[in-house]
Amino acid sequence: MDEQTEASGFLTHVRAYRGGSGSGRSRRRAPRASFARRLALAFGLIFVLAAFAPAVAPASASGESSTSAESRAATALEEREARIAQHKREAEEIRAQRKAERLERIAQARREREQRSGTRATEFGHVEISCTAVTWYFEKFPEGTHTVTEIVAIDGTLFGPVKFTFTGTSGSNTTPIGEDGEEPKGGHRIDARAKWGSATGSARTGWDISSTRVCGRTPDAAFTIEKRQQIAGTGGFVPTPLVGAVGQTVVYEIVVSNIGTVPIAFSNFSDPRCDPGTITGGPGGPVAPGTFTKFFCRHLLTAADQAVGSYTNTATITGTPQVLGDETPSTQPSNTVVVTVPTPKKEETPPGNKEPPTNKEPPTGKEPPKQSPPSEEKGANGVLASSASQGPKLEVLASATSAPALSGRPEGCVRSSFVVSVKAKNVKSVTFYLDGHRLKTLTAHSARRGRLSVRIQTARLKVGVHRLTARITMIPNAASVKAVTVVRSLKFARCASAAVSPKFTG
Amino acid sequence: MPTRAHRAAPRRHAWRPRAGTAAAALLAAVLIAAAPTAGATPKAGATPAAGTPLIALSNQRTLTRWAYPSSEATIRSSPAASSRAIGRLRFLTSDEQAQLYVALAATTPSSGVAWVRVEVPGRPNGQTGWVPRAALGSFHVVRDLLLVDRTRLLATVYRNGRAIFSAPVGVGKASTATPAGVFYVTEKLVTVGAPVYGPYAIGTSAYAPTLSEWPGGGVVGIHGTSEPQLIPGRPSHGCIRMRNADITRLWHLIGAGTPIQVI
Repeated sequence: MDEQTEASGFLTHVRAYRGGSGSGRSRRRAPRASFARRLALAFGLIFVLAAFAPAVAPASASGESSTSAESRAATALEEREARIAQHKREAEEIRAQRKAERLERIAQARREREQRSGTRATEFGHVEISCTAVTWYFEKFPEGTHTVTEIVAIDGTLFGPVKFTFTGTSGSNTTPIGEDGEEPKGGHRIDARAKWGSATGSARTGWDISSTRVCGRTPDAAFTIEKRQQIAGTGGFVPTPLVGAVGQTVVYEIVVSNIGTVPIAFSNFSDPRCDPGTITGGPGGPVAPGTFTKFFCRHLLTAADQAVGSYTNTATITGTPQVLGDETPSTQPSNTVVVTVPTPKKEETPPGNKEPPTNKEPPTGKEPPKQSPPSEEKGANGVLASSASQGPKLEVLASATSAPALSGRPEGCVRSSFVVSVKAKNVKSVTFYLDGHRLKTLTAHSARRGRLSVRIQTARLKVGVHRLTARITMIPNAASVKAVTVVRSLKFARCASAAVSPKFTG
Repeated sequence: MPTRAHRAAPRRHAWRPRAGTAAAALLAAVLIAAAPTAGATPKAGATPAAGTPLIALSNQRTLTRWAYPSSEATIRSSPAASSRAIGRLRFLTSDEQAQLYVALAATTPSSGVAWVRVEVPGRPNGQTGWVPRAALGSFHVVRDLLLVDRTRLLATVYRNGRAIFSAPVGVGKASTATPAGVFYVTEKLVTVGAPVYGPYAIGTSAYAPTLSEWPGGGVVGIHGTSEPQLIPGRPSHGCIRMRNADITRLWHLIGAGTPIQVI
């Protein structure tokens, strides 16, 4: 019986159970009455399909398709095996890479540990490097007399060799390094090596014990101490020499900065030039990294200072890192500052009739003779400028002599404009020239706040250096019936825009 | 039976602060950690007379003082008007910006005239000279250091001794190597019409040793780039190249007069 016939009979059987086109009453009773039949029919259908399934599958596949399926199965198996092998290889590579990284980390940690401690052990002993000495410990040697060659290199410079002889199976030798056994400032790399040959003939070649250590101060605990000074009431603090007079007071400012990364406690501040009882300031406790503390003290200039002429002064302080295990105190000196107390000289200068004194540098071409201003300090941008005997503040010149000077020289270069002025005291008129061309003439009537000023427009000037000259005509005084004319000049630079195409090498 | 070893005569080695074999990072740490009171190492021919106190103005690590010139004074080999002239102060750089000078030390000889030792930008690199104090304007202070490590191809800014910025750099190729030494920032430029320099450029006091015929004299600059893929590397003619984002940050971070240590 073929499949179609069997299915047709089955359908006929199903229609017979449904009662064909019977009356409505019989149709209404049919679902309740035929439920068991339907269930039996469903099981029967499942049974039939299960019985025919094995026969259907082979009937639907030819001989060729069977071979192709086997081939596909074999190919899939190969691919699966290849994937597995690939995964295994990748896993092994990853494991090997991780192992290598782990070993490298371990080796790196060992190297760092050895470098920190300066100790390295081998089967024949070990070497310990402190920052003041190198000590070798030779162990497990055969019986006999052994001569060991020891070499120390500091920052790559070799010292030695030192021959060390011992008898027996072990020996030890210490080689001091450094000056006076003190660890130096700054970082230094110490390499220590030892090799040996045995008198018993068991000579070994190569360097058998070696190690390296870096000694010296690290940035973790570092501080600076900077000393500055000023004549009381004359300006800001400067580190440069000052000129004072007997009776004046020199005020010192000592700035101690913690430039490391750990807190530092400071103590033992000393300054030989501070008058007793004048030291003030200082921290209330450890100074945090990146912060600073200030000390102040004073010194009254006396005849003794004048007799000496000048004196130098250096402050010192001790800093102790607040780190467990590294609380080694360190004492540092400050920079040295100088105060000169010259003997006063008598000089008579007729007002308005004498050019200011020149310094000893020869005139440079067209420049006017340079003048020696008195000691004056000038602060800029909160930063102290200094000049012991000369200063750029030209107004000072005018007060030092009756010959006024130009003031208002621009710092650096100028792009748009700037104002220069002349003090108007005893001035009759001022004529300004720019690069030889007359700009403007001002009389004493034009003075504002005691100054004769002019604004110099530079926007149209060529980029480069220009000279501004002022011809100052003074009012005749009792000593001279003729008006005195003084020439003052200054140079300034007109610079280009900062938005340029650079001429760097690239 | 092991016997007690005898001790060889102790041999004391003198410290010699050479850094030739020290690792670059160590050297950087040493540079930062060193005490500022040490001052800059005086170079030959630039020392004051014996007995004259020398005041350190800059250590070029944590404290650097600089000033604009107030005149085109002669730079001399020692603090004396009669000493050999080695150049003159300049008002402008080769890019026509304000020239500044780093003040290393000061002294007042018996003549009573204060002198300041300054770094002299130009060839050969590292030259210093003395000028009268009056030839300089007021001092400005910077507390930064830019450290350029040519081995690690890394630029690091230290402020008060602490690293606050770091970025990869491109330096000079072997034939036009970036010179080593201590220099300083002379100018800060906004570049226009030159994309190879990136958005910003920083002029230095360093000069390329070999490119003397270069326009401007061969000034080594720090600038951005149009070829960021070459950084870090050694692609340049001596300049220090940075990625544009890095040079932008650096340009705003450091000021004129900042010392530059190239190792």
